[in-house]
Amino acid sequence: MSADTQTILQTKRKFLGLSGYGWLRVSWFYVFIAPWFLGFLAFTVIPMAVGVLMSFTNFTGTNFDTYKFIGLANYSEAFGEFFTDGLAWYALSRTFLFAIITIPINIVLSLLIAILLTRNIRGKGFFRTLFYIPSIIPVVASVWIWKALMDNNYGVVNAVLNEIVPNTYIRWLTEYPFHVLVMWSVWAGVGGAVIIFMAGIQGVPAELEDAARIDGANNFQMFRNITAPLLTPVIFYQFIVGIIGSLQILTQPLLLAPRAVQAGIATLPPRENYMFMIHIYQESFVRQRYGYGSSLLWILFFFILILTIVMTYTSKYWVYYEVNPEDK
Amino acid sequence: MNKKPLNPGRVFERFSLYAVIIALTVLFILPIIWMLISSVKAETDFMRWPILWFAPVPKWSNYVQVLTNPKYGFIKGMLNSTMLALIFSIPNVISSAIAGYAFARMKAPGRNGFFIILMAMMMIPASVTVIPQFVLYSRLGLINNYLLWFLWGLAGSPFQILLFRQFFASFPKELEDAASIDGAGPLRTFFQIFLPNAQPVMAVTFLFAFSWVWGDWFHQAFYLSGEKATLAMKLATAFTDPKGNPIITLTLAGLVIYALPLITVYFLMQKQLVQGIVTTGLKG
Repeated sequence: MSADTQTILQTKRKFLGLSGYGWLRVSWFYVFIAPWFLGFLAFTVIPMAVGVLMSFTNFTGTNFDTYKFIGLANYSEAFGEFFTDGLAWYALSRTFLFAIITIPINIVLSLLIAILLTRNIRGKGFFRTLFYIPSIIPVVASVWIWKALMDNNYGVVNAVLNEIVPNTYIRWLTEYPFHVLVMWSVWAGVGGAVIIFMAGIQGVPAELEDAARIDGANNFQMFRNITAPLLTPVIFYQFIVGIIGSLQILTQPLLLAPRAVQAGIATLPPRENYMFMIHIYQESFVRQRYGYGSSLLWILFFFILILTIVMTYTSKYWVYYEVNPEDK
Repeated sequence: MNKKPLNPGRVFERFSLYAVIIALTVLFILPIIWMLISSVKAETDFMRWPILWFAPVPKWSNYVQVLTNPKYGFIKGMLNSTMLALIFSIPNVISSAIAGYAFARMKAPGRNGFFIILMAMMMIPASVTVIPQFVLYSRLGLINNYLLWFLWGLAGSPFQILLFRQFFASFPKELEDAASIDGAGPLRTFFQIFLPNAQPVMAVTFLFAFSWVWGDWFHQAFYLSGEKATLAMKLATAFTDPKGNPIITLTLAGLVIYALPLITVYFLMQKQLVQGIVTTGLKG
């Protein structure tokens, strides 16, 4: 990092004197990043700006000539819902519940699997692959797998439960859709984290381990004092990615809705799985309240931002950043 | 690692370690096995209660029916999915490669600033722009149009750019020197020297891009319809019999065909893909 900054400083100095750099040569950099940067402007910056403006209007998606700026009305309506226990608040609380349950389970389980697989065992690559398969499978395929597993009439889970407790007949998809959603998310999400954690554990310098062994550390002490601190940046990263991903959850509850998905994105999942993004799609595209929907999007953005900032702030108390002199 | 003698306690430890790993693996893989064995059942056997674990005779004709029944339009959906994935992936890989190269090998004022923008971009929740994007695309006539995927691809993606940057940064400096002595400009240096040597990363990024589109349902269901429908869209609703009743086993057979290419390629390219996941995950 520091070397990087240094070269950049050098570049700057050189550039100001224009020594060794022609404009022509330098300008190729901008040509090369142009496709990405123009795309970033077109697909992120401009839509974000339009979105901010839209959230202050009563835009319906069709009233291009007659829409009006209505100030903070959309936002006060949304926050009104939060304080009066409205649907927006309900959806937001379901989403947070989902995040609070799924993220820790995902991290703990994937860390555990990674620890087991990095013990001196045969075929760790093979096992790692097996854990990753649920993550490769397209979402449309995995939803059908889960519907087939959890169906109340012919599902495997009920069949197995029946062997243990006869006459079990649980309507998973209609009565416990939230549980199914959580299980599915964990099942599909663990594999990627396992790969990253395994790389982290295998990256622990051998000298450190040897030194600890000579000092007589047992497995638990080794993990507690060497592996775990070195893994904290990875855990931190998993938390951030988990927050950003799970607060925006949308596709999975839509596809899991029992009434198939003939209605596409207008599908209404069972109430337990009525997530915030689903509420936004209902308000925007079904009820044609684009302005109000935009304000909800910005509220969600705001929550994600705050959580990310809080996490980053707390990270200095628990995330261990190794200073590697060889690191560029 | 030095070998320790096997005493009974250690044997037990090894045994329980394997037992736990295998139990967990089975838990994760069983749902997929269930999809495979159910895809060759007759629908009546699949629905049977108490449960029938294995079909008495595998009904391979499920696969034939999925592929050939014109009502399901499976092949058409497959072609559409392939087309859409290629329309996205090819420009995505090239744009990402060229931007990654610029960030790794070229010096220019503002490079650091642009790189910070690139990193920050990964933190922006994608959904914040969905409504304005939809409105803009409808105004521009990009709804139900594969061109949208081409434009998305052209913009590259931060993760892919990072992968290329990482890779190109490891090339020796002499490569550029040799090129500039030969009088090659930046474009020739990139396309004739760096890109041909970047095949492993190109393969990985292409696969990431391709499988993103192939496995994506949401954007396709949102922006496409009718003749343009992809495999993901067709498989989201169950295949039905002439009376309109869903046939789950047939649908599962279709899903096996749909998911198999991704799983196969993953097995073939395991090493490179793991490297890619680790690079973007750890250093991203």
